[in-house]
Amino acid sequence: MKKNFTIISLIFLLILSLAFLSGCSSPKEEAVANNEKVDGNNENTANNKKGVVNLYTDRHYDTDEQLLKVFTEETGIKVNVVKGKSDELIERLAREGKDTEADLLITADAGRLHRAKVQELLQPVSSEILFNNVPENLRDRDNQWFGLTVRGRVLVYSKDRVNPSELSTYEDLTNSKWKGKILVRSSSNIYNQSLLASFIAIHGEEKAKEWAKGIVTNMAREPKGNDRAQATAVVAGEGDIAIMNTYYIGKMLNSSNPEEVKVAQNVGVFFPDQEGTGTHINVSGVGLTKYAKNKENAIKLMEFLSSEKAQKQFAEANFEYPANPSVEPSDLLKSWGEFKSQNINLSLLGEYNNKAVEIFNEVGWK
Amino acid sequence: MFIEIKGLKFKYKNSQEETIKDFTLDIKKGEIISILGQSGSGKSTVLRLVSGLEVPSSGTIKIDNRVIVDNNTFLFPEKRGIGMVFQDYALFPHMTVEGNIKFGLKNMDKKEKNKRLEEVLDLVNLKEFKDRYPYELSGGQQQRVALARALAPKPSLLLLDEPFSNLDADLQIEIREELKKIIKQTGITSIFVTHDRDDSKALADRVVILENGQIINVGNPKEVFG
Amino acid sequence: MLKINKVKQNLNIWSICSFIFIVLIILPNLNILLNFFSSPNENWNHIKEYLLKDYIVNSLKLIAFTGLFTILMGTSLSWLISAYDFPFRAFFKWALILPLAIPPYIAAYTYNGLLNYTGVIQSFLRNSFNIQVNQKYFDIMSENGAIFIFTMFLFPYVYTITRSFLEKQSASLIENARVLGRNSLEIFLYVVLPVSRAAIIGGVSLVILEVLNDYGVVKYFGIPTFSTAIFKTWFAMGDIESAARLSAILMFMVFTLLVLEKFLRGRKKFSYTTAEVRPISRQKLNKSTGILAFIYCLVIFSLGFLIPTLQLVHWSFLTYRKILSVKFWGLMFNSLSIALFSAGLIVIIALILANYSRINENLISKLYSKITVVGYSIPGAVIAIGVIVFFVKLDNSMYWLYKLLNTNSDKLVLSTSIIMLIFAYTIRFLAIGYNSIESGFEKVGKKFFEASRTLGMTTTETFLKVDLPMIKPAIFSGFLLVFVDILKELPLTLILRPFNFDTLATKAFEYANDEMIHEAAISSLIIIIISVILIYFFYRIGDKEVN
Repeated sequence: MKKNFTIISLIFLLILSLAFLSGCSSPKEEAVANNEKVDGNNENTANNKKGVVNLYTDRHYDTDEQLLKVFTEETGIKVNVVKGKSDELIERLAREGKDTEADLLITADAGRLHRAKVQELLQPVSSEILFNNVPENLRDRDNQWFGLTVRGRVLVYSKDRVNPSELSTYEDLTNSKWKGKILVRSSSNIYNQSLLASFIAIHGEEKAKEWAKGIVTNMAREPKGNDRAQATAVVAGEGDIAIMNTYYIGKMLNSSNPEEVKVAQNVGVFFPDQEGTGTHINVSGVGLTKYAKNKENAIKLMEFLSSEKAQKQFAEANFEYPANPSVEPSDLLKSWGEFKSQNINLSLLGEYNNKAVEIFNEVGWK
Repeated sequence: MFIEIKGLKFKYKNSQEETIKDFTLDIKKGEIISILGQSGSGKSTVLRLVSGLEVPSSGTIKIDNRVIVDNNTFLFPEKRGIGMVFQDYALFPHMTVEGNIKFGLKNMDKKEKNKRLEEVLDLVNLKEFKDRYPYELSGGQQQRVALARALAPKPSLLLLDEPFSNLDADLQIEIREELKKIIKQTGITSIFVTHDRDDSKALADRVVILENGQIINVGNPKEVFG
Repeated sequence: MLKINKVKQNLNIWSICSFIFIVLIILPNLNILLNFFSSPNENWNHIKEYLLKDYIVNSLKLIAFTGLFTILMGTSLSWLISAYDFPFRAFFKWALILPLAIPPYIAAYTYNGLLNYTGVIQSFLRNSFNIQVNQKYFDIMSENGAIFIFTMFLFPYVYTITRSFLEKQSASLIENARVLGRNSLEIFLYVVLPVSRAAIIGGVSLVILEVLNDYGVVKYFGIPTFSTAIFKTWFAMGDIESAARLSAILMFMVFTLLVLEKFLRGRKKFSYTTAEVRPISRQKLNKSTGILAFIYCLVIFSLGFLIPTLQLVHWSFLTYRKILSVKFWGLMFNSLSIALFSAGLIVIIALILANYSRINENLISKLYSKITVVGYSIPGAVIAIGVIVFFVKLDNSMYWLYKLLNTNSDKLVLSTSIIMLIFAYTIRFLAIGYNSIESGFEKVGKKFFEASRTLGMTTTETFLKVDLPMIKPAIFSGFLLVFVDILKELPLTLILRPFNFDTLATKAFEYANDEMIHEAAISSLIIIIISVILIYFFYRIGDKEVN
């Protein structure tokens, strides 16, 4: 009896696993079945061999899924999604080479889109709709990627201890009066790398390095934690000014933790460099992969995401500014007022990324 | 000769010296052979070589003129038709007495299996213990089950490795007699290994004295022990 | 002359299967090692100049302190539980294993959410008593914090191995020492520690491997160590060569440790022998010391299980409306089914390899069992890349076959499927299944196998009829351990999963990484609950074997 039990359980396992494997492959079959229907409906779209578009994305918002559903309803094109960290997705694209299934890559940073471009993973897209919807400085010089949402890297200050009139520029943060007051996360974070890269692009390497060194001297503590943690540390009194992205304040105001809401209410948002070169901005954006198999569908999705209809929801999911200038930002963002942003092509953030990382390592910004 | 062992040599992987150096022995059908030696003399190794659990470095073994080992042949243990009773019996703990005995009865239908089971249980006098698990038996009973299990497939040769070493001293003599009776009753050719010359005297037709992997004396117990 | 016989004896379905498995395990890793022979590039000089020292120092610090603290905690607890009676001892005996059910990365963000400024402790102090505490004392996102997390959630490795050793092996030694009039502390220092040396080292080396492989905690806390550095150079700098070089240094550290372990452990094995197993007769502690022992266990149990679990339960209540949906059940189904399937596969492969190597005790089989361990000592990220490269190559070379089967076939079939992930799991966790099954075989020994062979059964028949039923507990334990590990696994799943495939672990990590810690709670909690149940079964099996 006992040995029978083992054999039976082994067989059971085998059956279960077969069922599981077939279950896993079913979404794909579904997609194929789906596109046959699409083919039947509009046979003239010969290139539209498959009614699918495959998306590698670094965004994980539930609202994105609703948006993609709308896209599918409108066009009949099914969207397959692989979510992952930008770096890993890019590495995976590179590894898969020309056999990749991915048609589109969405990352949360221009520097990474540029990295994908340099590794020859993307291709240019020439679409009037995209050119109209996405301003020139928010897209790649060779149109290999297009920004979709915009965030500023701003100063967040303690309403109790700092008068916003004392604040002016990023450079001012290196002033000795802020010694022991500055909070910022680790240099391994891409947002800091892109920030420094923008300074290299605008002011040159020397100045950028000086700035980084100055910030290290003025840090309230060793860099640690994420952007939210910096705002929290301001309220907790560890420092007075935090460098962080705008959308985190939005997220904290909508947090399920009432204490976090309080924190967000107790800090002010300041857009630096308004007299000078403008506040550093970054985008999350999308690029068409070099070996996309569903190119037309993919471009349709890019256009859809940049459209007025999609932009609002897409940006608001993450409390960001829409890239499309004809779409208004959310009320919260409007309440912070309009601001002047750095007027550089965001491709430069990627081009100077390596240099920025080196400078961080050299000045000892952990 | 029924069994011919010629020039058997063997060396364990990690040892310098050969464990078995040139072992040659002929055995008549129905004969009971005792291999007597100290621990480390290589006596158990001879059994392992004959049963096929080890591969000799050279030498030939034939059973009834069938080559089971030579330079080009190696028959796996399951192909040799040799029964073996292990020192600690190695009764399968997850099977009843019946399961253990039937284990070796491969190519029989159910009826034949049951018949053979009854026969050997009769032989070792354990009929009413059929449904017990090994741990529910005494040491002597376990040994008899092991013997029944080895005999059930009707092997041409029976090997017994230190059959009495795991038994209490006062049981030994009794069981020795019983074992002799059973073996004689079946008329099976057997080799048993022991370190106790009383065992050899009581059971064996012929005694082989092994020292350091070499045979130093062969003969019937009277000749050998004087 | 008899070489042919040897070959004949060794060549069968078992050896062929084993050979194929081993080759499959080695190939992806070989890819990475080959990178190592190229000359260092510019990046590497930069890394060497500014970063390498930090990586080495941090990694060593984490290992050393975590190792030390887990030894102190693990051995003292196992001694207390196995030699003394005090209130709730029976409960703690098993409850102290539970921290293993909480993956360190979940513990890390839970503790941070608990202790930071907006966490429940500080807000309570602030809102009820208007106390503003110094953030320094509540900051867990530091090296010390990481050591705390690793210690609290990995010490059960030392505790369980040492405890089961003490329970099974040391009764007579300890009773002798007691009779000789030694006091408890003396017995602990001069008898318990030395005799259980091998068990302690065995446990702590598992702890160290876990620490070196950890990605979640150090990433979240922002501590530069080897595993974050490998991720960073590979993905952020796009520099495979330097990442491979870092991996090689890490592997070197691991192998040094393993050699050291062997050396320290000496020839002693800590699995119990066939000799009679007799539990220690426990001494009853008097009232005050009994309460002290109780408090000691309670504090550790609270820190290592109760507090973080309660915190997660609280967060789950805050967010369940938002999180629980049909999709969530899909996550659960994904997690459970992939863990079930992979663990089953790993156990089967481990069975074949372990059976092969115990039957053929030769150099090759020893080599095989060493190779099964390789995957466990390489960080998940490194394995992931090796596996991707391997599968893309495999797909390219099998394209003709796909075409033959389906003219419209895509080129990348295997490398876009779940099979790639399962393959990677197999490389990573084979060692766990293998060790469990190997020790099962060791306990059973070879005599039943031999008896079966002389009764006319072939190796395969013997395996099915004798070996398999006899080592069933070991198979089951191995299965459970692998299952839990896959359920918690992060880097491989993140990188290798196919389209539209999320698991509880990836979802929890995504939420935590998007700074939505509360939203991560339910997934985390479910991972923990399932792990607790399986761990419970695992130790029930262990206890049954002893009694």
